[in-house]
Amino acid sequence: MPNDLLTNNLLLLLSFAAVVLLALFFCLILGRKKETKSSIFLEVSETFKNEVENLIKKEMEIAVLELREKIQKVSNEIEREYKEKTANLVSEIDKEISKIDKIGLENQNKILKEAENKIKDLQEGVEKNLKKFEDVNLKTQALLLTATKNKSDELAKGLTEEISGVYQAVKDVLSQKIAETDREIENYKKERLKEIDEKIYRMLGEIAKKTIGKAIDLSTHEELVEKTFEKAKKEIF
Amino acid sequence: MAISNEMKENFEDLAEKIITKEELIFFLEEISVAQKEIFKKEEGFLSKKVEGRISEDLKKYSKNPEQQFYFLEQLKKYLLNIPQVKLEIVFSPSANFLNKISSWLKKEIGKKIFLDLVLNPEIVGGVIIEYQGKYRNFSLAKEIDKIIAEKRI
Repeated sequence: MPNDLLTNNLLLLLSFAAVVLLALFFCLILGRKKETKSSIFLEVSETFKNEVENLIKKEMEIAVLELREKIQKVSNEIEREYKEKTANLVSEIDKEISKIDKIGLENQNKILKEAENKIKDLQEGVEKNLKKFEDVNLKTQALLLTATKNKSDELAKGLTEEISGVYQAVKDVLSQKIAETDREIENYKKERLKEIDEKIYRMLGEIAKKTIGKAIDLSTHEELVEKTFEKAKKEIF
Repeated sequence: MAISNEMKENFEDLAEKIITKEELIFFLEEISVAQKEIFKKEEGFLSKKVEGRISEDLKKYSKNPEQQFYFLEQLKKYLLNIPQVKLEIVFSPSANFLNKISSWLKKEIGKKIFLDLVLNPEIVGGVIIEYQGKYRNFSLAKEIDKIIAEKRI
């Protein structure tokens, strides 16, 4: 509202100023026309011209002064009204603000309360669900434990069986290998003993031959040969 | 020219004096020497020509050169046809022993045999006999080996 008033007054002033200016303008133009006309129809004296100009000047000065005063008056009025309105407005705004504050506070309290209630409900709900979840979790844990235990027992049993199977197989293979190795060792021992025996007997034979050869004299040799010929008679001759 | 009985007797007489193969080889060498001298242009009998180089026994039977040569040639053949027996023994036998063996062989087999003696100490004692493709080991070494083998078992 104060703005509308101010605007209206300003418009009034501006229109009044425009009118005055137009009037002046027309006066000037008429004056020039008259001059031209006067140049055509009437010769005006310099003194008259100066007087008219001074008159117009004075009138203009007066009009301007009046206008200024009016403008000042109007602007003062506007200012006063504006201030009044503004003061009222501010108090109204304060009132409204306080109202709003109040409402806001009420709403805030309401919202807070509602929020608290909601939170409380949610908490209760969450707690309930947590409890449920815990129960389910515990049950699941128990089930898992049982299942795991069973499975691990099964696995352990299976592993034990497999391991014992593998162990038995390895044991069998090892036993076989050991038996084979024992046999080989035995055979080797026998072979070596046989070799040693043969060596011993060979050496015995050589020693016997050397000893007997040295012990026999010439007559015994001759006797041996003669006896041999007797034996050889049937086989060779 | 056929061999006469006289020649044969002479050959037998000469062969009687040879006992071993070594003696035979030596005798054959003497025959070769005599044969070489037969046709040499030296003066005198063959006996004179071969004086000191061949034995007295061989000298006895020389007549004229062709006969002489023929005789000696036939003698060589005769001697080479006499069978030999190889005897491996461990000792160097005496002449007496060799005679004994040679006589025994002639008596038992009915013909003259030369003895091819080989010394082999490894047989220890006894003899190894090889005669006309037959081989028999009558050595002491064999007996000892047999005993050792029996003991081993």
